Amino acid sequence: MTKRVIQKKVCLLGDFAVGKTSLARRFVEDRFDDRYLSTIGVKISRKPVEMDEYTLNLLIWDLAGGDDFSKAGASYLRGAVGALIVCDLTRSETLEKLQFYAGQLRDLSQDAVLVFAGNKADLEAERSINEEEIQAVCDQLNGRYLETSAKTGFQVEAAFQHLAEQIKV
Amino acid sequence: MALSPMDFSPLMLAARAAEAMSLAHAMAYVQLAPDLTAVQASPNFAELLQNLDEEIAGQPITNLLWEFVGAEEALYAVLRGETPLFRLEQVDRSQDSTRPIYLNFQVTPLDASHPNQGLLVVVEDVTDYGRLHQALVQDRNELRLVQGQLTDANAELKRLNRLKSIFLSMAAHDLRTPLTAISGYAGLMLDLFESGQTPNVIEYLNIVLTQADRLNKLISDFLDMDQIEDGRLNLKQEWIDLGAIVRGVTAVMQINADSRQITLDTDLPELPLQLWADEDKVSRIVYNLVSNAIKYTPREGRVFIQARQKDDQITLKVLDNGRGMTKAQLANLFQLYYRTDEARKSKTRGTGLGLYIVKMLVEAHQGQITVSSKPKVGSIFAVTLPQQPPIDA
Repeated sequence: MTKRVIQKKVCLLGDFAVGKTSLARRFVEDRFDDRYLSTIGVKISRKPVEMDEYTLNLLIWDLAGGDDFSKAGASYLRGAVGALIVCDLTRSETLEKLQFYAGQLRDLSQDAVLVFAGNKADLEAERSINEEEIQAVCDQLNGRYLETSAKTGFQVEAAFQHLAEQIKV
Repeated sequence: MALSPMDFSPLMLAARAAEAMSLAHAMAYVQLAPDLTAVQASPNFAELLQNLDEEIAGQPITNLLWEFVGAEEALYAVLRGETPLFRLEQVDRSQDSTRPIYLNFQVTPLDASHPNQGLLVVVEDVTDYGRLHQALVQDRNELRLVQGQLTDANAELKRLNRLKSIFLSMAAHDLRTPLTAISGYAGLMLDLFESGQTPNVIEYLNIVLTQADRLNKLISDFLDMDQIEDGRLNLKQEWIDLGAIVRGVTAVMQINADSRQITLDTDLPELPLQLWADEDKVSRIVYNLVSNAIKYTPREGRVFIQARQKDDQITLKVLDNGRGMTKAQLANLFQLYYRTDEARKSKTRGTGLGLYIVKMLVEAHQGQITVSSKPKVGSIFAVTLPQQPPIDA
């Protein structure tokens, strides 16, 4: 018997250059490109995630971060059931923005599932955010925290898998 | 028969306007029924959306355009006349991320005066504009990243400058303390000799020696740091025996350990631990780690030094049951001039150079240093050094 297919929209949020597009690319295409390419507007990718009783087609909205999000981002969030909110472990200012992005999504949907990723975990020597700091922020925002590396693939699958598992269908 | 300008109805003019616009950039449309299923689409709709291979008519819009998954409520709001339009701008739906294709989607009622009759989705290819916009955003974001790096570098320079000032005043004090003791005890002994009295001379000489050792260590630290900072660190590598170095250092440090009833134990193999390294620098590594362990271990504590060879690597471990460190303290441990808050507040003197120098010297030997620690339990410093010379040595 074929499993039913359910489509759900999730967003990738976070300040500019934290690695949102790289995380999506690693998850969807399993590849990584070192060049930084700014996202404008939104890039939408699709990836099926197999669950026990159904296939969840994740529609991943990779939104521009920083000022470009403030201009149009909120309208893109409509209909999203969850988000992976990303900060760059080598840039402490990106930690402060987690709260802003979480608030933007929760304003539209109180039930939205939030998962937080501290990306670029491979750059250990350049790390400027420690685990306790980021864990405290994520606890306060009521979302699970995972360290990820789009470059090595570390915990990328786990972050999206956790997001998919928490989505109510 | 040709039409006169007055024969054009507003509807015909609008159609011409749309036709003219589509010459500048590709546009397509799809008409939606009130249940959000497609009724009909422009002939170029499937081509513009690229990955459409399904029959369009009768399909729910969310099957045709995944951009609208989750947007159903917004579309119903347009149908109810609560909002005049729904718009998504610069949507990149390309599968190849190096060649983005940017589309704008605009959804309006077919008839603004009767919005519940159905919707018109206009898809506009804005790739040319999008690529220009992307290039501008790219430049701006890259500039911001560089600006951020410069701000961080500036803050780090200010921090180092401030620490250097603290260090200089501390170093001056640290150099003067042993000198004052040496000069004081030397003068005292001179007086005693002149008066023919020599009761405490051995005790005084030991104090002078200890203070001279302290002075020597401080000056060695300064010289090492100077070489490291200037990039002048030259290694004089030869075959050395790490076991002999550890025995030598523990013999020198035994007096410090004894003075605080600290047990100083070693576990070394009987055979020499041959290592291709700079003997002086490896001695500094061992000395700094052992003296640190003794310094931060309370009275009657234990410091244990172990060295082992495995494959072509030698590992030196210095373990103590001292005050230990938190994760946050560990993260900064090897930074120049870093001292934990507790160390700064305590009477234990230090410059914040020792571990920085150890790390630099270990890395200069292509080795690694790791530390694990638990507050109030103790710390383990582990240095791993390659045993063999590199191929081009």
